Amino acid sequence: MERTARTILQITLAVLLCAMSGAGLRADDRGMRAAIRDYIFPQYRGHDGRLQFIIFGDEAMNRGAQVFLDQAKIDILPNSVRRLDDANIFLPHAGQRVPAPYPIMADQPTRRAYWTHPKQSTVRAWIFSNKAVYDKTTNILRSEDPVHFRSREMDADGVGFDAYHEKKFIHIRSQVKVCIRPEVRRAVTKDAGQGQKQEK
Amino acid sequence: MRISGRNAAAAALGVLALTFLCGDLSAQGMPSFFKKQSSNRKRTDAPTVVEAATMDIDMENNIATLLGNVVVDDQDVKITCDKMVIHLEDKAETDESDEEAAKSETAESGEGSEVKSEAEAAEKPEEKKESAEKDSSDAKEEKDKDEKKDDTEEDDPTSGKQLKKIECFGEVVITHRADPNDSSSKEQVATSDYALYDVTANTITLTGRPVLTSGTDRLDAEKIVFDVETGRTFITTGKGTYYGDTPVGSAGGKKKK
Repeated sequence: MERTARTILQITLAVLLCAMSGAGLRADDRGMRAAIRDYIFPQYRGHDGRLQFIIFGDEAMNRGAQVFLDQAKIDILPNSVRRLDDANIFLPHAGQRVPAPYPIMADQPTRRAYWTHPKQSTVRAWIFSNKAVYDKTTNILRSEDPVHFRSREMDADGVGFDAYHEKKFIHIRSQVKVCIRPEVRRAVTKDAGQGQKQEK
Repeated sequence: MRISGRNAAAAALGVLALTFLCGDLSAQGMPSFFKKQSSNRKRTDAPTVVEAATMDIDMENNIATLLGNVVVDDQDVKITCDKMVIHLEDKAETDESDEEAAKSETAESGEGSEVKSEAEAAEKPEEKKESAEKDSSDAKEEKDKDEKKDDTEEDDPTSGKQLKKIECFGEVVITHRADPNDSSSKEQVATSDYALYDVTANTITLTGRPVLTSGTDRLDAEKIVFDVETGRTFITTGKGTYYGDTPVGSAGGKKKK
């Protein structure tokens, strides 16, 4: 069932990407625009074709070199994922919606429930923003809206961001609040203890 | 293990050397800046919150850089600075390096023990058998422990990367809050141009005109290293100058070194 859904998704993706690039050209020429609902937009590194980000969202509007995204959710992938087939992704067309971000000060059970979802297994981190714009000429995704960064070890909220998929680099523009999880500290304590043992 | 045998030896030597060099300061009643928290003061599982103007997250290199009016508000410590760089590392990396170090240690000790055991075997074969049984039992226990540890880590889906080091740049102010459970404890403040929290060494190094103050006590130096585990403070470079009311050694009273 899932394989079928994945195949349909891949075909849909291919068609959508072709449509987006084609529509982009037409939009430049004729002032037209193309809208896509429940989009999935994989982003690959230029020199080796490694899958870096997958952008999910409710609606994408293509205007020339820019794609305007509503409810953008950016899946930042770990280095172990090279292709779309390696990623265990949410399939909106099969009713699998990307879960909304938990509050930045969420407790451990809440975060645990979030990250234990089977579809999160190949997610390194998420970026959420209500509105974002992807520039096809620079490959930079940007937003002036509030942004939520969520990962297993560190969460951050802020306002406005720029994300460059080639380098997996994210810049949060202002009002940054970061939450470093106690699990990271526990790792510190454990390692420090081991270090002390070694020294002795 | 994270620290290889050579590094551990170097670190141990370094600590010994520093203890020797600075023994007169830390051993003779020098007020303990950033002393280890009392056992009454239990650390909660509350997360550490950091605020800043902007942030760069370099996912490929596991580096997060916070810029502009950086404020860390933790249970025990408040840190302010212009720029903070948080270095994370993969747990897998640590595990691999641990394994490599363990292998090399085993190899090193293995060579020596082979010669020793041959000699011992010639003299006391019964003891060798007992020793071998004991080793086998120990190895089994270690294996069980490791398996349990692995299970625990795998069970926690929220555990991702781990801290490697934190660097603070520009107008660094580290305030160690007074222990509310200890009436004698004072708020302690360190200022410097640069601070490094090295997680592996479990030390905080201050450079760039570092000054430590605790009440009326004050310590200046070129470079100050604070050992988080022991709560001891070392001056590693240049001459330290201490001003304060707290008695230093048997002389007591105000003293300038």
